[in-house]
Amino acid sequence: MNQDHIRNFSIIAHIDHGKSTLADRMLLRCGAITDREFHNQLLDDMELERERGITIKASAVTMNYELDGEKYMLNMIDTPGHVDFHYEVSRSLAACDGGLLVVDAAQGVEAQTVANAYMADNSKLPLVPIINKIDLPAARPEDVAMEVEHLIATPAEDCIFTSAKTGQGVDDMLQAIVKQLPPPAGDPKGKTRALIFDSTHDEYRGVVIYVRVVDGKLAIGDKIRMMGTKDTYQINNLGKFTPKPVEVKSMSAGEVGYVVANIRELASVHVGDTITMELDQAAKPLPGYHPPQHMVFSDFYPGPSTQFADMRDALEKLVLNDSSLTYSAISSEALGFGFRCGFLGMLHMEIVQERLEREHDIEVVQTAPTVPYEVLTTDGAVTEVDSAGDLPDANYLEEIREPIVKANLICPSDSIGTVMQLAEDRRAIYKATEYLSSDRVILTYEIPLAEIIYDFYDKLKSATRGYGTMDFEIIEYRANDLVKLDILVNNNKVEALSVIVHRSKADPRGRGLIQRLRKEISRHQFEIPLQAAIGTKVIARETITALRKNVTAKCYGGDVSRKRKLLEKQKKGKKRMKMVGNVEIPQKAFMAVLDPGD
Amino acid sequence: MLEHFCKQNHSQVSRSVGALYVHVPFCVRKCRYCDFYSQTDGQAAKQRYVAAAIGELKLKGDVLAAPAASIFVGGGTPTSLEPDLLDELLAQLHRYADGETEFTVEANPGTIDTATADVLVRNGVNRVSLGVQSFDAKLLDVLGRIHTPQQTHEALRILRGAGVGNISLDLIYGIPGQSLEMWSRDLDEALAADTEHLSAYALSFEENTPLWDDLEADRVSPVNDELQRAMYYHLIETTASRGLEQYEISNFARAGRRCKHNITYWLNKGYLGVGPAAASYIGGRRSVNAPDLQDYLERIEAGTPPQAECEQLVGRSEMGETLMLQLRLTEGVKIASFTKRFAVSPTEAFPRSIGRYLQSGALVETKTHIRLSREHFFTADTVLADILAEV
Repeated sequence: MNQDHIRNFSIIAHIDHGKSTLADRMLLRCGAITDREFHNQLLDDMELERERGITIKASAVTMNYELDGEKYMLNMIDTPGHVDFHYEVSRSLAACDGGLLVVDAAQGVEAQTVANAYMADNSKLPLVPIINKIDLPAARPEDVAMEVEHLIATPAEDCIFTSAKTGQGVDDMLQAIVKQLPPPAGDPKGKTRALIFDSTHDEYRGVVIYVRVVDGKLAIGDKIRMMGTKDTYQINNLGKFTPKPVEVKSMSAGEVGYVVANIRELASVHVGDTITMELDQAAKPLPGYHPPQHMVFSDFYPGPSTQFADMRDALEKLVLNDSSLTYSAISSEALGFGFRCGFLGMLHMEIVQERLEREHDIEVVQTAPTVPYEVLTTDGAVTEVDSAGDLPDANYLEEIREPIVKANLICPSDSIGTVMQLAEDRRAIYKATEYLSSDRVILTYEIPLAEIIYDFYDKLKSATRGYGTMDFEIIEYRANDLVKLDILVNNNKVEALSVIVHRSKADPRGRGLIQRLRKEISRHQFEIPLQAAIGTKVIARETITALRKNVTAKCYGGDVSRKRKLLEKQKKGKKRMKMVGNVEIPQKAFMAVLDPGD
Repeated sequence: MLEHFCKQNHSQVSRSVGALYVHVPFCVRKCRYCDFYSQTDGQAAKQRYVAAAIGELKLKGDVLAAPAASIFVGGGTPTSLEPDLLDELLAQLHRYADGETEFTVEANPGTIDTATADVLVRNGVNRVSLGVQSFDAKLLDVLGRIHTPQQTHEALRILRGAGVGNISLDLIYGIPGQSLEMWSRDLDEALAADTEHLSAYALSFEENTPLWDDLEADRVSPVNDELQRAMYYHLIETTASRGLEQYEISNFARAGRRCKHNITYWLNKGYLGVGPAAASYIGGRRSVNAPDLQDYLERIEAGTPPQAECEQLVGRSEMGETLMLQLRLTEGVKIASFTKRFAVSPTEAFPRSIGRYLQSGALVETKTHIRLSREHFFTADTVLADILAEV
C-alpha cells in the first residue's frame, strides 16, 4: 500500500481513561471484530494484567478504514500504561507518526497524560486530543478541553468528544486520524531499517517481534541483523494482527507488523533495537536505543516448601515471555541459595513474584527491593551494586552514587504545601512549578529513586485526596552521603536486611526498622536481641523477649486431631519465612526494611 | 467426612486394640472452664445412654484384645450415674478385663459415697482418677466445681476404705486469682494425700465456656505466662522431691504407677472409644462419634454407625502425629520403635524441624531416644508445631 494511505498512531491515556474500550470501538467500526468480541477485552491477555487493569505488553493492530472512497491502513500501536514501563512507552511512540491523547472528561489531565504528551512532543509526534467518557454524569468536557489546550497548545475547540461506551464521536476520531495525522515518512527504496518496539513469546513460534518498518522492506526468507545486539537471524514468518494474525510475504516502509525468525529466547531481542539486512546493512541504527534498564533489585529465595531447582526452572520459564526480568544465582550465608532478580520497577517485581506463586507454585521469600547504586572504590574503579550486602568494605569506599529521577508531580493547587513537604522529606530538590490550569499544578523535582520506589506514590495520593499523580525518569547517578545500615538479629548480621540510607536518615530509619522487626518476628524459645548499626556503631536496639508458655496442657485420645489442627494453625500464615541462624524471619520482616519510617 | 469412609472393616483389625475408652456424657453440673461434651440430663436419658453404650461396645468389641490392657471410663462425670446404672455399665466393661487390666474411672469428689465406691470395686475398677483441681474453696468457686475441699478428703478416705489401691489426683494451676504461694499450698495438700499418681494442668480458656466469657468481658484476668511457668517448674521440682516421677508434660507417678491407658495415646497406638463424642483410633483411622447425646442415641438405636467424622492417617501425617504425641513423654520418642514403625528415623523424616531444635537444645538426642529438654516442656508446642509443619 502507498505510504500516503498508512497511519501509525498510538493511544496515549492514563490508566482508566478508557483507552482499551476506545480501541475496541475502532476495531468494531473498521470491521476487525464482531459485536460480541467487542465485549471482551482484546488487547490485554494475561490474567494478572486484567486484574490490575493495565496493558503490560504493547501490541499493534492493523485496521482497514475507508474514507471518501479511499482505503487506508490504520496501525494502532498499544502503549504500556505504567511508570515502570517508561522506556517501552517511548519506543512504542517512536514507532508512531501521531497519537490520540485520550483524557477522561471527568478526571481531567493526569500526570501520566502529561508525561506521555511531553514525550510525544519531544519526538515531534502530532496529537489529536480526545475527551472521552462524555457520557459520565460528572463529565466536564469543556473544562478538560481547556486543560488540554494548556498542555499541548491545541485549541480547546479542536478536541474531539467521545464516549467509548456508547460509540459517540468514534467516526470523528477515525476521520481525524486520517486527516490530521501525517503518513509515515521514511524511504521505501533505502536500506532496510525496522524498529523493534515490542516482543512476545509464543510456545510454537518462539519470539514474535513487533516492528515498524522505517526504511526499505522486510520479506520472508530475508537474513536480518539486529544492529544493537549484533545477532543475525532469518525471517521465516511475517504478518499483521488484525487482531487475528494474518501472514504477509513482505512489509515495506511505513508498515507495522510482526516478525518471526526462529529466536528462542525473549531476552535475545531488545526493544528499541534496529533490524537491518545482514547482507546490505544500513549505515546507522535508528536513534534512541538503550538496553533494558533495571531500576529495582530483589533477592528471591525459595521458601520452606520450595526447592532451589524448582525456582530456577520457574524463572527460566518466566523470562521466556518477560524479557525485562533478569536473574542470577546467589548464595547468602544467612539465607542459602537464591536468585538476585532485576526488575523495571516495583509493579514489575510484584507481578513476577505473583506469577511465580500462582503459575509455578513457588514459595518466594524475597528481600526488600533496592535500587542499583554505583560505587567508586579507593582504587578508582566504579562498580554497580544492586544489594546493600554487596557493598565493599567501608575502608575501600570512596563514594556511593545513587540514581536520581526527575519527577513530575501533578496535584491540585490547594495541596501544594503538603506535597512539597512530602517531597522534601524524601530529599527531593525542587526544580520548577508550572500551572496547568488555575487549580492544577505540576511540581518538578529531582528525587533519589530509592526514596520513591516504595510508598511515595501512595503518600502522594493521600496528601492530595487521591488527585495527585506522578511520573518520573532516571536522569543520572549522583554521589551522596550514603551509609550502609546493618541489622543484627540475635547478634548475627543479616545482610539481607542491610540497607543503604542517607546518613541524615540513618538514626530514625534504624530505630523504625528494628521496631518493625520486633513486631514481625514472633517470640522464640529464647530472647532475641535486635540491633541497627553503622559499621561497628550500634544506633538502636530492641529485644524480642523469650516465649514463656506455649504448651497444650491436656492431650489425650479424644482430641488428638483437634490438638493437631491447633498446632498446625500456629504455623499458618508463617509459610513464607526463612531461618536465619535459629531465628525464623517471616517475609513481612524483610519488607520492614522498606518502611521509610516517616 | 463421608460416612461410608467411617465404616471400619473390623475383620482386619480384630483383637488388635488394647485400650478401651468409654465416654459418660453426664455431669451434676458443668464446670465453668470445661468444654468436654457432657450434659445434665435426667434419669431417662441416662438409662438410654447405658443401653446404647453397651450396644455399641457389643458391636465393636471384637477389635479389643481379650483381656484389654486398659479400660478408662471418663466424661463428663461417670460417677454422676446412679449406682445401679453405673453398676450395669461397669459390669459389661468388666467382661473385657482381667486382673492385669488397668481399669480406671474418673470421679468428681462430690459424687463419691460408699455405695458408688463399692460399685467400682465390685466391677474390677482398680484405679480412680479424682478431679480435685484445687483445695482452695475460692478457686474451686472460680472454676465452678460442685465439690468442697472437705469432700475431696472424704472421697479419698472412702475410696481407700473400699480398697482402691491406685488413685490419681487432677489439679489445675494458673487459675485467675491464684498466686505461686496458693499453688504451692494446693500442691502440698495433694502430695500429703499420698496418692500414686498426679496430673496437673495449666488452666486453658476454651471457647463457649462461661470462663471464656468471663475473660472476654474482663471479669477475670488470666495468670500471666511468667507466673504460670513458675508454677509449672515448681510443680516439677516439688513432685520430684516427693518421689513422683514426671513421665509426661502434665503427668507424674510413683514407680510402676504410670497410667497405661494414657500412655497408649501418647505412643499413638490404637484404642476403641465408646459413647457420644468418643474418639477411636483403629488401624490408622481416627474417628469420632456424634458428639450430641440425642444424635448418638438415635444412631445407635437405629443401628447406624455413630461416627460423625473420620480420617485415615497415612505416611507422614501418621509420623507427625506420632511425634506430636510421643514427644509429650519425658523419655520422648524411642528411635528404634519409630524407625521400625515407619521405616525411617525421626531425624531422617523431619530433618529440618528436628535438626533445628536439636541444634537449639530444645530437643535432646540420646543413643536411644529423642526427647524435649525439660526447660522446653512449657514451650513444647513451638517445637511440635514446626514438626507438624514439615509433614
